Amino acid sequence: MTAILAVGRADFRQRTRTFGMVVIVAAALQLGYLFVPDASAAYSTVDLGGWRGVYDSAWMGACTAWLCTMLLPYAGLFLLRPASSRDALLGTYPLVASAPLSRASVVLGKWASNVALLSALGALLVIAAIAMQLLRGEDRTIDIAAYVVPYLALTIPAVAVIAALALAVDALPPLRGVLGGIAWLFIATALIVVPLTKSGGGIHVAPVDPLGVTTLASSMFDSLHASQPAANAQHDLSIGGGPAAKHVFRFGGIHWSATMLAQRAAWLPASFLVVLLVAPFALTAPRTAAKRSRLGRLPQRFVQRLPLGRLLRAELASAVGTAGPWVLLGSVVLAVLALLLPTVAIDRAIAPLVWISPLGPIAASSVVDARANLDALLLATPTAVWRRVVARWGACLALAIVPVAALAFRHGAAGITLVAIAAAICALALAFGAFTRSPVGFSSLMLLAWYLGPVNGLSALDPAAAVAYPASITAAAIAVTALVLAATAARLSRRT
Amino acid sequence: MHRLEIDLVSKTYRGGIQAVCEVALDLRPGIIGLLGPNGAGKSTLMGIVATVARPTSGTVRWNGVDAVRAPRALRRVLGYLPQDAGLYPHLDAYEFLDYIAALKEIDGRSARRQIGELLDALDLGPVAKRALGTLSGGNRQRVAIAQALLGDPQLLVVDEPTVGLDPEQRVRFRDLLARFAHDRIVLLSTHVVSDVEFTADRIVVIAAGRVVADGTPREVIGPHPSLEAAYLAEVGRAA
Repeated sequence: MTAILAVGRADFRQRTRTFGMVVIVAAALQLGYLFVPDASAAYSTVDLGGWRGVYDSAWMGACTAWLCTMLLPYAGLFLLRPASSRDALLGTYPLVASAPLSRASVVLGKWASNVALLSALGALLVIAAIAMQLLRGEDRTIDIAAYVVPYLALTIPAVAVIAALALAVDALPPLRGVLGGIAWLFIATALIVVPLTKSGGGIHVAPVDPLGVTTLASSMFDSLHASQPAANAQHDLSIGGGPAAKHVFRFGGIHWSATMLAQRAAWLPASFLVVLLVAPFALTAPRTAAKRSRLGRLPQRFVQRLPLGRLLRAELASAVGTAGPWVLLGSVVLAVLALLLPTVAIDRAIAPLVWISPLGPIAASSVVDARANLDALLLATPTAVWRRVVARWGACLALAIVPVAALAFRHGAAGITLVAIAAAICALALAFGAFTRSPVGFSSLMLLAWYLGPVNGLSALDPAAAVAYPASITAAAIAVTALVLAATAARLSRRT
Repeated sequence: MHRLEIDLVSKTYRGGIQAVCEVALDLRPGIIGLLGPNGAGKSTLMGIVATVARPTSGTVRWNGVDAVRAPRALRRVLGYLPQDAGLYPHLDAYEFLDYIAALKEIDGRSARRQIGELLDALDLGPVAKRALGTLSGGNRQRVAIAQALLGDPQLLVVDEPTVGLDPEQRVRFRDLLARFAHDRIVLLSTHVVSDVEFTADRIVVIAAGRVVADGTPREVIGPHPSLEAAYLAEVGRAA
C-alpha cells in the first residue's frame, strides 16, 4: 500500500508541477466564478424550466457537484491522458518496468494519482463556491455539510470512475494517440447524457449513473416541485449558458437515502476492479520507430525527389515519416470522397474527418525537436530560426492540405478560407510545441474545438460556417498565422 | 590562424545556481580537452561557446568578433554535438545529415560529397538507409558525430562524444578527431580521462565552475604519475 501511494504521489507531483496545471487551475477558478452569475446577469448556469435556487449552501454545493460533473470528464482529456504511457514519454519506463513492484501496484498508483488530481480540482471548486456564496450574498450562512456531502458522495466516486476509464482507454494501443482523445470526448459526453436520457419521462435516479447526474437532477426537481407546486418544470433541465432564470426557489438539498449512498459508493470498488482488469495492458513500453518496408518508406522517397528547397524537403520528409503511409493514404481517400460525395454527406461525415485526421501527425511534428532533444543543436546552426519555423509550418500544412483543398474546392472561391484556417491551425501547433514542448495542449484544445465545431456544429468553431465570411476570416487567419509563427520563431531563438 | 577567446565568462541560472564562474581561456587550433566531474559546468560552458546559452557576464570572441552579441559568424564555422543529442527517428542517416547540411547552408553537391565521406569515415554505410529510430545507441551517436563534422567546421564543440561507443569506435573517433584538428579548434568535453589523455594538445580541468588546471598534458600531469591522478588531485583540491 505504501508503495502504491508512493507511485501515486510521485506521479501526482510530476503532473502538478507544470505550467499547464496553472492554466487548468486558473480556468477552473474562472469557471467557478462564471458558474454563479449575479442576479442581474443575462444568463443562468443551472436552470430548471426558468427556475434556479437561492444561492445558499445547499444550492451552491449541488451546483458545484454539477460543475465537477460537467468539467472533470473533459478536464481529464488534458490532465489524465496519456494515463499510463507517460513513463514511456518521459523515458522513465525502464526504471518502472525493472522495479520489483508489481505492474498492478504501479497502475493502481497511477489511478490514485489520477483520483488525487481530479479530487484536488473538485476541492478547489468547492472552496471557490463557498467564496462565491459569500460574494453573491443571497444567503451568507455557510453550511459546510451541504458542500462536503455532495463532494464526497457525488464527485469522488465520479472521479474514481473517470480516473479508471482514462487508464482503460490508454491500455488499448490504437487509442494512445489522437484516436484516444476522440474516444475520450465521446465517453465523457456519454457519461453525462446517457443516464439522463435513460431515466424515462421524468428525471429519476438511474441505476447506472457513474457521475451521479440523475441524482443531482432528480433532487433539484423534487425540491422545486415540493416548494413550488405551481412550477411548470417537468424535466426542462439546462446546464451551461441558458437565458437568465425568471424565478428563484429555496433548494432543500439532496436527501440521501442509504440506497443512494450505497449506489454511489459502489462505483469505488467498480473503478478499482476496472483498474485491476486493465493493469496487465496499461503500462506501455516506449514505441520504437517501426522498421518500415520499402513500400512504407515510399512516401518519404517520393518527397526526397520533389523539387523543393532542401530545408522544406527535409521537414516534409520528417513530417511524412511521422504521419506514416496509412495517414497519407487516408488523406487521399478523404480528398477523393470530399470531391465526389453529395454536400450533406460531406458536412456530416467527411468534413469532421478532414479536420481531425492530420491532428496527430501535426501535433507530433510540432514537438519533434523537443522530443529528439535537438533544440540546442539546431539553434547552433547558422540558418535563421524563422526559416526553420516556416519550413516546418509548410511541412505541417502539406500534411493537412490535400483533403482541405478538396473541401475548399467544393466551396468555390470562398473555400480559400478553409485553407487559411488550416494554415493558422498548423501555426498554432508549432507555437504550442515551442512553448509547451508537448503535443498534449494542442491536441486537447483542438479535439475540444473539433468536437464542438465540426462535429456538433458550434458555428464559432466550425470552419464550414467561416466560409460565409471569406474575406474577413481569411484575413484574420493569415494575420494569426503570421503573428503566431513570429512568436514561435522568437521563442525558439531564445538562448538559455 | 583561428582564435577563440572565452573572456571571464560566468553563468548563473535562475535560483542563484552558479554553473560557470569567471572562466577565461584563449584557444588556438588543436584539441582542447575539457575535463571535469559531473556538474562541474562543462556543458554550460560548451553551450555558451556554441551560442545556445547566454553568459550572465563576460563574452566569447571568435577571431575577434563578439559571438554573444552576434552569434552568426561563429555559427557559420561551428560543428556542435550537445550532450544527449537526439535525432529524428523517422529519417534515415542520409536524410538527417542532408537536413543538417541545409541548416548549415552547405550547397547540395558539396553536402552529398561530405555526407558520403562522413558515412564512410564513421562506418555508417551499411545503416545509412535505415530509419534512425531503429539504429543502436552507438550507431545513433556516430550519426550525431557526423552531423557535427558536416561543413568542415573550423570550431568543433563536442560534449561527451564517446558516450555509447564501443572501445574500437572510441579509438577510431579519437583518430578521426586528431586528423581533423590539424588547423581547427576542437573543444572536447568529457569526464573520461582516456578520451583526451593521448590526443589533446591542451587540457583544461574545470571544477565547481572554475578552471583549476590548464596546460599541455605534460604540464597538467606535473609531479603526478598519470593524467588521471593529476585530474583527481586537482578536482579534490577544488572541492
